[in-house]
Amino acid sequence: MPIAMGAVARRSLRLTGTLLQERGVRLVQQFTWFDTFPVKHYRWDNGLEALLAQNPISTVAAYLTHYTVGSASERPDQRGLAHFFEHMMFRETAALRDGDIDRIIAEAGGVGLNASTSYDTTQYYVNVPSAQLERLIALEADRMVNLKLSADLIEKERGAVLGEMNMYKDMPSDQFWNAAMAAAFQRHPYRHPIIGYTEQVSAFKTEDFAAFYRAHYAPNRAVIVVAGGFDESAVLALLDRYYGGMAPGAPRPVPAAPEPAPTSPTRVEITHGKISTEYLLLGTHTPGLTHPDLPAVILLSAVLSAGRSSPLHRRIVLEGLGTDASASVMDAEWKLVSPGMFLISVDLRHGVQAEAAEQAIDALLADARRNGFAEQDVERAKNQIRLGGFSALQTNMSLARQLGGYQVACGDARFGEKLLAALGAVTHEQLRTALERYVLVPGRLTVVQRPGAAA
Amino acid sequence: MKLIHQRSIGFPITQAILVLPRTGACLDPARRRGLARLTLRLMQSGAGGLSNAELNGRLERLGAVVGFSLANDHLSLRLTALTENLDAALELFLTMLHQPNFDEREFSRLREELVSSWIADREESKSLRAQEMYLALTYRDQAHAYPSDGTLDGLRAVTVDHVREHWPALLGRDEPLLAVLTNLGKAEVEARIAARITLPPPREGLPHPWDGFQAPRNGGRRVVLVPDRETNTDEVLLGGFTTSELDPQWHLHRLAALIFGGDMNSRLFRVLRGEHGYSYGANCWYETSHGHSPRNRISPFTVYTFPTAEHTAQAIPLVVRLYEELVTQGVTADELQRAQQALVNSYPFQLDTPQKKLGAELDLALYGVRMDDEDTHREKLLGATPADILRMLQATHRPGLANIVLLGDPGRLDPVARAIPGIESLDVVEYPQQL
Repeated sequence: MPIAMGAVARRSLRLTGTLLQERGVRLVQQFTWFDTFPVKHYRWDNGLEALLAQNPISTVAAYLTHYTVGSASERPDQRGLAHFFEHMMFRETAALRDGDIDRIIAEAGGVGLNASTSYDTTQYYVNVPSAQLERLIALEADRMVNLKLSADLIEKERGAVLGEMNMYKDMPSDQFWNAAMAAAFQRHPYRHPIIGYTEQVSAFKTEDFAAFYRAHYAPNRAVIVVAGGFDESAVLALLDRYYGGMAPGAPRPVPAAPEPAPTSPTRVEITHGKISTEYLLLGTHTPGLTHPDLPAVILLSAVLSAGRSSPLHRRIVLEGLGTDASASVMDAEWKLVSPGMFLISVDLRHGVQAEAAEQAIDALLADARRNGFAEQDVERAKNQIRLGGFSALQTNMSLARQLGGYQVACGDARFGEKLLAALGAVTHEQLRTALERYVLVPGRLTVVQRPGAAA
Repeated sequence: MKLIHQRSIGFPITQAILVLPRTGACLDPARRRGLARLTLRLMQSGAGGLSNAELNGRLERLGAVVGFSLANDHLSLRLTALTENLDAALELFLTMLHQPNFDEREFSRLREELVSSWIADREESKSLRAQEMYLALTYRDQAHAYPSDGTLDGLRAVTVDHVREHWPALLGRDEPLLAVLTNLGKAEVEARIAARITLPPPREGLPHPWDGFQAPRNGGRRVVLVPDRETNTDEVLLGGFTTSELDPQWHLHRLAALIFGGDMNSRLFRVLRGEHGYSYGANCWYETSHGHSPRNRISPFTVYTFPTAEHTAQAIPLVVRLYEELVTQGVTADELQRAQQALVNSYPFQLDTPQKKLGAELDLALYGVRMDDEDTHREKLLGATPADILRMLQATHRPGLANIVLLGDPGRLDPVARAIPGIESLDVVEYPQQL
């Protein structure tokens, strides 16, 4: 075991309230999430935050570290660096040789070790038997501040990163999404692919990684969530031992200014050489995750498309125009820091042109503007959201993602629960307002992907 | 009907899964692959005289959804509902089960929808196409080879009359299973769910394609090259039949698979990605764990990677060599020790959620695959030696007789394929469907 765990680690692991204060740990809040999971939220003087969520029926734990850095945090010359850096976090530290991180986790019985980079966060996660939490915490703390970045390892990992980029390039949907984001966000960094651009990724140097590490990886840039069945005071003591003495790093950069809503429509048409059906995406800008209108915007997406009896499914799928049609709100799905998009997407049926679906959607939205939504459609949407909300909380990792994701995105771990309650209270009038303000706007984006010569 | 009840964490939702054993996609006639899928989808698209939108509208307003999953040896129909509306949702579920409309117009629309989706899925994912070609090569085009969503020609050949005949034929082939995950107690589940589901009694002696299945054997390596031009990565699959999960040495197979390609610490991953950067991923599995083969039947062992085009020429011979070395040289004591620790320590994750507990009960009922208790699990794994694993590998793995599928640019792949030693056959096969 390369990480040294001295005698102190084998002493009693309990921290009393007094000791907590002495060590600079503060209980920020405690609550019972969805009336089921007791959660305590701690903050250290060095800025580290931890959410300890008890799952009463679990004997294992999910451990998830959210860093407040994603592709939107990159400078223009760094596109793809947040993701590439995420790969490097599995390589070497001052104490651990290449391969040790995977090995230690595996030997501890960890399952699902992985990481992901998003627009606003990078997440490192694994499930471990609760008795193995100390090994994991020691390792995670170590790579937060002691990562070793050598040119040799960067070069080896570059092949894997370029391989991942190539894998996505072979998927038509990736080209479609990238085109949509580039058109939706003219200024905001959400316009860039999270994975970056081949030219830049091929050229990142050791010093780029070192500077990125210094700028973004530190206790004050992390929210740790432990969810499952574990001795809470023991885990708190371990977190304190391994992270409590760390110095804070640079503060989180101020998010880029929100994308101004366009005042005129944008239409983008692309072709792909290996598809035979068309794809359509309509997008309009949202007010942002914490805006009071957002619950109505989210409910609107569910009224339109949650279920096979939804108006969008009826108009598009049951009338033979497409094979799938959905409406979604990026802000909640991606837990975005900056305002995102309300999206309607359609997979067209073979031989049907995107314009046919576009007209049907326009007719549907015009009808909703005139007549509002049927009560039964609203009831369906609210009940489907409840069902989906409960279904999404079945694993420790899903709890950890929800709690930590919202803490990072809007500083409120309870936001998911509050949002669900707010969705249940949205009125017909609020739905119509959301439709007018955020969907039936002049600056709509339309993206069509058609069969044709490779773009 | 056997009832399996599992208490959930307590959220007010209920999931009832009705499993029909000895059915599944394998029963699709050779010229109508996709019949079972079309049948299940059409069942959900109108029943009891209610149209598709009316039926699903009623269900969805109750906070319920109906879905299905289709394996090649069984099928499952799944009702998930807010428990407060369970009774009304179950009524609609039973209407689907017993009184599907099987409406001709709806059928025509649905068939076109499924054909379009089928094509789009393959255009999006070349790994799906490669996997299909690999299973066809491995099972030699028997019923077991086909994806549960059928083939393009098969879907197009199905008529509504075929569906009307097929659904009753799927019922009563064996004793059904009812698995329920809920916040309700068992007595309530028996009264409110199990007692209300009535199905025809099992008929004896109905044959199934898995009965007496014999795994085909090769005389050498059979290689199929599937052209796909202008790709940035290529698909590589190789493997062959080995054993089933009922094998008393299954724990040795698990250890070997973990060491060779089971995680980020495995040989395949470490060498192909970590040391050479040839591919973003490289792993291996037994097809039982991917849901293709039933867990109590002999299963192919599959090695998979998707190297970046510029590294394909190096990656393919390397993968072949690594698999050969595994079988000729086995694993090291160090590798084994790590794998033993990993599997022993990860035991709690086999049953860490109510869903997994339900799944374990279902596996026992469907396949007779019983999960070891923790002590037996530990004892078996820690008792394994490198010599045991080598003997097992040499007895059950035949890398020299592997089926190999390479999907990508033919100009790039052809010389690499020809250089693979011990080839019995090398065929260039266009993906058999016109996309």
